Amino acid sequence: MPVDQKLLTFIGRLRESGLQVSIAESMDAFEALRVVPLDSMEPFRHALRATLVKSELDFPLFDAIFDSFFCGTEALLARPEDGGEEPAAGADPGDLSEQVRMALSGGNAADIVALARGAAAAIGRMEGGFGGGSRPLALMAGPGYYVFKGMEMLDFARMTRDLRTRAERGELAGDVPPALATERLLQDIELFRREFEREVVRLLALRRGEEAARRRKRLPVRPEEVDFLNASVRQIEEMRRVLPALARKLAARIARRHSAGRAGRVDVRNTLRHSISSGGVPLEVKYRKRVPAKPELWVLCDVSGSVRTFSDFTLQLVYSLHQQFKAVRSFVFIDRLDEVTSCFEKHDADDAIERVYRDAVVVDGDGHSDIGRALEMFDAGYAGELGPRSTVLILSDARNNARDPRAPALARTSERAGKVHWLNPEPRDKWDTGDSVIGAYEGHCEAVTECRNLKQLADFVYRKA
Amino acid sequence: MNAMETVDSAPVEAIKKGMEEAGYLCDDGIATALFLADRLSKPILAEGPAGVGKTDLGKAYSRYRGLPLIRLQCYEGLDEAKALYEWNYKKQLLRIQADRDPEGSWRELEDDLFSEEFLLPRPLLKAITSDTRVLLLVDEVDKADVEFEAFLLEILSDFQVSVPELGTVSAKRMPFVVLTSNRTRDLSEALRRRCLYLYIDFPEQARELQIIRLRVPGISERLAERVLAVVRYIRGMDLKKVPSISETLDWASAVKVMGADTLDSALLSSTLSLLVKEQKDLEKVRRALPEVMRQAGRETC
Repeated sequence: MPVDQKLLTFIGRLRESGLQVSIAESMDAFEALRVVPLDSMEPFRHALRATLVKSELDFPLFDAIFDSFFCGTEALLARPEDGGEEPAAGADPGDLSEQVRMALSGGNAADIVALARGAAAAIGRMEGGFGGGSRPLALMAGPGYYVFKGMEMLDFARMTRDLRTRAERGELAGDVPPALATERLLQDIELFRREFEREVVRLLALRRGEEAARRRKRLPVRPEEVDFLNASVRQIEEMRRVLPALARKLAARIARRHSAGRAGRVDVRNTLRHSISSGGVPLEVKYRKRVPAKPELWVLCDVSGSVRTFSDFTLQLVYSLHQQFKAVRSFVFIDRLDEVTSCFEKHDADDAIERVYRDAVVVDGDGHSDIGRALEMFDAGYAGELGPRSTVLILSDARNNARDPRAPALARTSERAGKVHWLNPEPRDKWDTGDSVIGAYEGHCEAVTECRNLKQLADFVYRKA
Repeated sequence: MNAMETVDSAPVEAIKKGMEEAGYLCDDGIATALFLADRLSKPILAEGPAGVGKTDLGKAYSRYRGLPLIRLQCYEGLDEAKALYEWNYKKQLLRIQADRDPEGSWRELEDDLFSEEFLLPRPLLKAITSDTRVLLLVDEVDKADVEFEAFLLEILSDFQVSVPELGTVSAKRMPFVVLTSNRTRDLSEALRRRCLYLYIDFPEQARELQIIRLRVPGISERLAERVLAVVRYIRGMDLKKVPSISETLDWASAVKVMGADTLDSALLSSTLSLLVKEQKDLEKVRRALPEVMRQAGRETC
């Protein structure tokens, strides 16, 4: 395929995955390839990235697509055999494991790469020659199987754990400070792992064709687009990492909107004072700033089971924005309701959340949510303090375990409060299925909004703050 | 590679070398971006954590290529009058008052008043009207208002502006433009589209060590390594604000100036506030001080 055509296909692939690449940008990329040195992969990657991807958050996605497109099986197969192919032929797994351990302690990249390739070949031989041998089952095994088996053979998990402990104690690299040695070790381990995996793919493709070697890797999802309800532990960790930045950005946007009301009334006093510097001629007209009123926010969080992640993030976000509100009061519930405002007054949002789960009394009965009961408790205990400037925000999937939704309680609350908003972390097509009773509440809220990820959450807060 | 002549990697290497002489160590990504910006005449938009050397990148490139540096610091409320040009009202008023000649016609006076003599050029106009090629550094563009960003777009795409009283002014030499942003807000897609994007993150271990040795002359390799170990270990702790490169350099210089050729916990403890600036973070690091010292390695000098 000619290069121009290939680049166009690549850009098409980026667009399919949701990156926005304009025509002007793709022209820049073509332009860049005409001037940039193409004697190795990295400048090529940098040039495409600088012209096509305009946010660092999109780098992981770009890199994944780039790797599979330009460093995929095709490129791997084209790699010349380099002689150092099977250094460990006939070696027993223990020896191989020991060699890997030595290489990782030594920190020489070339050794690590050579060994990773050797180890991949060895595991292939042991497990039926990548489907070329006599075991029929091996014909079905994909790259994941060999990687798993290989790591098991090398006792890789334990080896790397030991090495890491030694690095942290400063026993690994002589005079190098332990912090630096540990960091280098982790990079080397990653290098070994990556090279091992690539070699497995390459050998599989050689023996059984490219189709067998295709890794069915899912493309990375931006942390703010991960669903709250089925986020993995790692994804939650990433979401936690991006949340402060998101909150900061959101605060800046809201503050800017608040200050955008600068076209207020003419400030005569200020205008006259400034006219003195131009000999009494009022050349510059000064305006009074218009300050929009801030709402008072009441947040009711369902903290049962899977909804908890969602409530966590929402609480954190709300509290990092607390200066945008006149006051924030927060409540958590499972089958009973408890106020937790005081937790957030003294502590960081992070510490506060921990404290909430430790101190709040949210369970009376069997620990299944009873949203109806929580709403009734709220109405009975706090509705008297609500006023037209109060906004009530309810976070829940409205799965009520077949209990009475007690919608009239929400109706009474709704009459007293200025606004009631309901945020539901479930996708819209699941609403009112199974034991979801969101329909019963919908009529008493100003709006029920689907809020599946951080992005939707941030959009909602921005619209309403 | 059909139709594309292969270009060797010499120019990118040359940029790296030149930048190093100007006191800035680039990795491949940064050098490639500078090279492309020069060849394609496009602005660079540099994003990344505070204190990784985004502004320094612009300054160093201007030293390396001998381009005069024109810097526009953005802030909330920055407008055309402060960024582009302004009429010197006061001088104009003086001119009117000095010239109370009943015979003189208003037209003559007007032509006189709105001439370049009474124009105060601000950074953007200076960059455009300069006779030589300049480096225009638009610093912290995320701090400026959205309207200003839109106005900037016009300049960045054609490098010309119109001053109603004088007509259109276009650039004699295309300036080399570097924009920096700390991502306190998202810049518009339109602005991003017009720029080459460069994300500068904390550098790799080896490069950061080189940076310390380059920018803190006379620091011993051993001390630099231990300084780096402390910084990188602290960065791995869960802090509100991690030490940036500029803070690392400040701290390394301080340690060196205090005459220490070694690093002990008393010295670390007394200078820690140069490195960690949030009160809560400071307490956290102080509590972990023995471990931090251990991670910085044994004393074997």
